[in-house]
Amino acid sequence: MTEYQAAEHVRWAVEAGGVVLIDCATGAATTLGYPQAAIWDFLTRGEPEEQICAKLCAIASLDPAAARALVRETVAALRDAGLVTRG
Amino acid sequence: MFQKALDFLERSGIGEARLLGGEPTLHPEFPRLVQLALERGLRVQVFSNGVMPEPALRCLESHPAERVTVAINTSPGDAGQNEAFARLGNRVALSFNINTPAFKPAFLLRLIRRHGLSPRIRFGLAHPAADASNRFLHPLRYQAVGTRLAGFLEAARAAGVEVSFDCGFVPCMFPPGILDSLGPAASGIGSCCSPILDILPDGCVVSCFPLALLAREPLPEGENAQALRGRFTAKLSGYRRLGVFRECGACEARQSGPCNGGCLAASIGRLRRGPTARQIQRLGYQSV
Amino acid sequence: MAPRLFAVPVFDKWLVYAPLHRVAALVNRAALQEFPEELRAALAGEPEPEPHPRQGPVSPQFLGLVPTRACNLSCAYCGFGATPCGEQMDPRLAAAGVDWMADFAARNGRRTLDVHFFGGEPFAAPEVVDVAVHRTRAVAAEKGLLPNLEVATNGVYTEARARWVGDYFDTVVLSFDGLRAVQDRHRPAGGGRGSFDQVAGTARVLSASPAEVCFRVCVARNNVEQLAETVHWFAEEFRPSSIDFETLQPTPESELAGLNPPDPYTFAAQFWKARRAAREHGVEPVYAAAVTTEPRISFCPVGNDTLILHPNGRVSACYLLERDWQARGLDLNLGRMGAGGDVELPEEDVHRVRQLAAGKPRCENCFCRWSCAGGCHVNHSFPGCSSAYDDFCIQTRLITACSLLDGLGLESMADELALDQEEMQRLAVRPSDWLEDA
Repeated sequence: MTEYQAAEHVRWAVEAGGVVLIDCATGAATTLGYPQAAIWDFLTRGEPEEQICAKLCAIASLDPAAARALVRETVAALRDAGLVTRG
Repeated sequence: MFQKALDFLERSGIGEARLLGGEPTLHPEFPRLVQLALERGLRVQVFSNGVMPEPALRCLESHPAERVTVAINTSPGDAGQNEAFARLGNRVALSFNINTPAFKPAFLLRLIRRHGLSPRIRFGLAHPAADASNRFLHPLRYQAVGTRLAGFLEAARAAGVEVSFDCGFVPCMFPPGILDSLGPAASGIGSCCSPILDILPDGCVVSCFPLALLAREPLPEGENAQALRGRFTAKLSGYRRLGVFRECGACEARQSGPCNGGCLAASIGRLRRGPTARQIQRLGYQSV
Repeated sequence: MAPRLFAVPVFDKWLVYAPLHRVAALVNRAALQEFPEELRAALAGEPEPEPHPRQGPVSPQFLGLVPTRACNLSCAYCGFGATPCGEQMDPRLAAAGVDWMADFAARNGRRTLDVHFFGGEPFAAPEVVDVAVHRTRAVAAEKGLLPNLEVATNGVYTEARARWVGDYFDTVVLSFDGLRAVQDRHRPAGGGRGSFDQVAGTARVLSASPAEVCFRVCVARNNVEQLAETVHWFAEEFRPSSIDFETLQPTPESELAGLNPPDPYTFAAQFWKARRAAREHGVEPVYAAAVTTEPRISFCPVGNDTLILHPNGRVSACYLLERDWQARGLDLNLGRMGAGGDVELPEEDVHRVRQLAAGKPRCENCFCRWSCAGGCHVNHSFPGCSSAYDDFCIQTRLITACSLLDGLGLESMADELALDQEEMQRLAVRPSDWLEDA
């Protein structure tokens, strides 16, 4: 969502099965598989929630409500882990 | 500062002082530095481009190959090294940095034969510098390089020349079966990427040149190399998860141990960072 | 049955070629005249079976997706009639296509899930590409397959998008016709602007990315003499793993723009020169019609069971426009897919399209019949096409002959051939290449 972005100390690399996030401050590595890896991609591009959810419906075969819940749950987890911050 | 560096080597139980650069023989006190190291009972290995001032050449040729060796990095048609080759003879082992898959290594055997150099060649891969400003070998070209090296190995073997590999080579870059035929030379392939510990002129020590910006601290008093390597390894451990290829995360050789994913600096080149909110607006991802 | 050999003249020698044995040899005239049977006998072992149209259930190598026919360029030779606006594929349809291909790959023991993107310009429908790419990766992970994503693109987009392309795609085929003057003349953006700066910028970003980068160069009369120079520049500035040369296919648009295909002899000579330049840089130069690694009945998607999914759900064997095939009396449609996952690929349609790869009269007596195999089924080997060798045939025959010589270690002879117009003409235009007709 546009109000969230990757934390300043986070770097990431695309892998075959998802994306790996490196917290440069702590050295910790977090792997995101699918569909969370797609959410990360759209989030870090600053896409609005609605757009992310619409794409996620097709990517993960979800209905809109489930897509929205997954996006919010993923963002909350990333926020709690210090991997995203509010922009 | 040099003495402190030698102190560090001694308390770390390291028996060899490796002098590198830039071009280490250009140091105005190069002969004295070599002497200081030798007086401590250390062997000396100099990494050079082979174009040396006369005092450095005289210094190096005055010591036997058992105490002083010179690794000269060469490329085809590099005539400026001929004098060093002629005068240093079997003190010299050739090293060759690969930055293109179109490299042609046959000339190395001719140089060894012509100048009576040590029958050893060390191959290195041109890794990305900390600011990626150099011409480095992209990991996607590794397999082409491995195939070409495999073709060269037979000629080297026939010439009685031993081939070894610097850091960053990975098992999957070689055709199947080649690693077995390499014998002991293959031992480091896939696992040789660890804190080298390069001590810089300013008294700082870095994990290696390409990672100088990520792992760097002042040369510690009292501590040895093992402690420092441990700290650097821990600091860089998160990045070790990456590997030079996108597929490294799922690779069996990686998971079961023989390979650590190749050059860490090349792996880190795959990392992305997020744009700021203002940049997001400006970058316009949505438009083609 | 005695193996059938081809023999084509090269200076005072003969290049003998048995593609189904994967054997070539250079012999003198005496050997040809006095020992033709011994030459045949020298080919020990059974030949590979002569390539035939495929049979059995449809077996695509990859799924092709056309997210849109829209494009943000106005290439001077493009017959697609692409505009900035155009129908876009429903992302759910793209996902359904990916799912079908993933199921097929998993059921048939494949290791990879291969999805290729075509256009127009695929990134003129970025949401569709986003969904398809992530769906491919998600489904591949689920089924234990390795995703293999490829895109043919014009590279005209932001640096951020270029970085994304390099991160998420395995192979990027970037249309890049050469230095500024050529690129801007061939591939202008709208409003008279050039595209060179953006495409070069994208090429730079992709060169630093994890993706394989292939440059696709359209060669016309105006840039054919610059191929070697172009290759040097590409190799020095960027990191292409291959450079694919295609000669201009004339269209009404290209004629209006004053662009013409190159003379085939000139193209063959210049390609051969550029090839050397590319190899010196460790870059693979490609002229697809002259690839002889494996006998084949078709090197284009038609005849190879390729499934191309279009924005309206139609599935065809070709990514060119339907009107272009229809103009040749061809129907290359294979069926339909729906966003709900429903798939129709009638056997009779698959069989009909497969049969197009067989029986090309012009190729019957040509030594390239199982490498070039007639080239494009819409633009070159369509029903009722001329039986005489045309420019495409000539340049293909010459480049193939040079490649075979090079494969025999006779690079200097190949170089000489490429510089000798008379010898090239002698080789290129022969009624039959069969040994018995030599």
